[in-house]
Amino acid sequence: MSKQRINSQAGFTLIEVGMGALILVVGFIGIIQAVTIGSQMLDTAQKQQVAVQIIDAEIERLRAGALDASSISTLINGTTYTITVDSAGSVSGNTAYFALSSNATMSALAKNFTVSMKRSDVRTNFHKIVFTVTWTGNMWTGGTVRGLAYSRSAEMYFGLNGLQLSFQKS
Amino acid sequence: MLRSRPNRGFTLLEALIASTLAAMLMLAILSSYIFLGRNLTRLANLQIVEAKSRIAHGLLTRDFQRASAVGSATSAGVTLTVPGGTVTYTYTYPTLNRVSTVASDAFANADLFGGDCTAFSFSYYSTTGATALSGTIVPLSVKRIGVSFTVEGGSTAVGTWVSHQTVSARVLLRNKALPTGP
Repeated sequence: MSKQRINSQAGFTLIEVGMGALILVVGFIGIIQAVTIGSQMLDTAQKQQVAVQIIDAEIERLRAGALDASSISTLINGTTYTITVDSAGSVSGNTAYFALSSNATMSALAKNFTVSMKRSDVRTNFHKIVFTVTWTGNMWTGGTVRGLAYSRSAEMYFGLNGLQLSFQKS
Repeated sequence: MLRSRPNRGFTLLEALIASTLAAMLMLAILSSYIFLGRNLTRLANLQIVEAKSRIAHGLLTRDFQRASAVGSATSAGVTLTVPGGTVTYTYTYPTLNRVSTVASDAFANADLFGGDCTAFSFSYYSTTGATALSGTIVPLSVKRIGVSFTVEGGSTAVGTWVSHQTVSARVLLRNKALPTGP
């Protein structure tokens, strides 16, 4: 009888409490992961937007240059031109061939980006230009960026009299 | 002896230690929940702010690309002649108003940022470089227009404030056939 009374007041056993705590911890880790992955996805979306804006800027530069024949004609057929934006936002490389090198507000948004452009002629007076923007995702481990490599690429065709077409490849 | 104290409670010391530990644990759990909630709100705010920026950026770029003439250009506003009418942008902190006379324009008279645009500027360029504006006369050499703007959202008081800056391409206008003017 006395034993029954004591048993009726017994609390949780250590195993029960442990299991409960484990479930809580697993749930909590899930929530934290969701926040981390969510912010990484937003970061990627933001950088893709910047990459698209860079490609737009380069296409507009070539379109404008067609008026005074200063830009496409200066690109050597088959050569890849590349610029790199450092962590401070300053541009180095073949700076003379890119709109980004004279747009400090835009390059400040494109830290650690690499932009390249290659002209390859389809035939006389019909040029194909491929733009590629690459960057590394934000994932810091032990002080170094260890994120995934991302890239955006667009193709532009340029004919006579301003005839042109551009589209995003990837 | 045992029988007489079957329901012996905790000592004061035990109760104090237990309640202190429980309080610390609750504090840790609560503050991490607040931290998580705040960051989720920040993420949501950032997403909203970016979506607003993208819509406005798309609309601005499209209007520039189809503009055949530019009237009354300043760093805070521009009037563009587009097929079927005119489009006028006016920035007054913190709104960017777009007024269009084009028939059945979905954004005929709208604030593109819902009052969240804290900085906005139009820049004008010739085919090669920046164009200086003097007075009300828009030089014919204006061939490209670029914009840069900042959209903000959330609240600083609860730590959910976010800011997003957009810099557009220098978009070539449709008036490129015009001669280079004054």
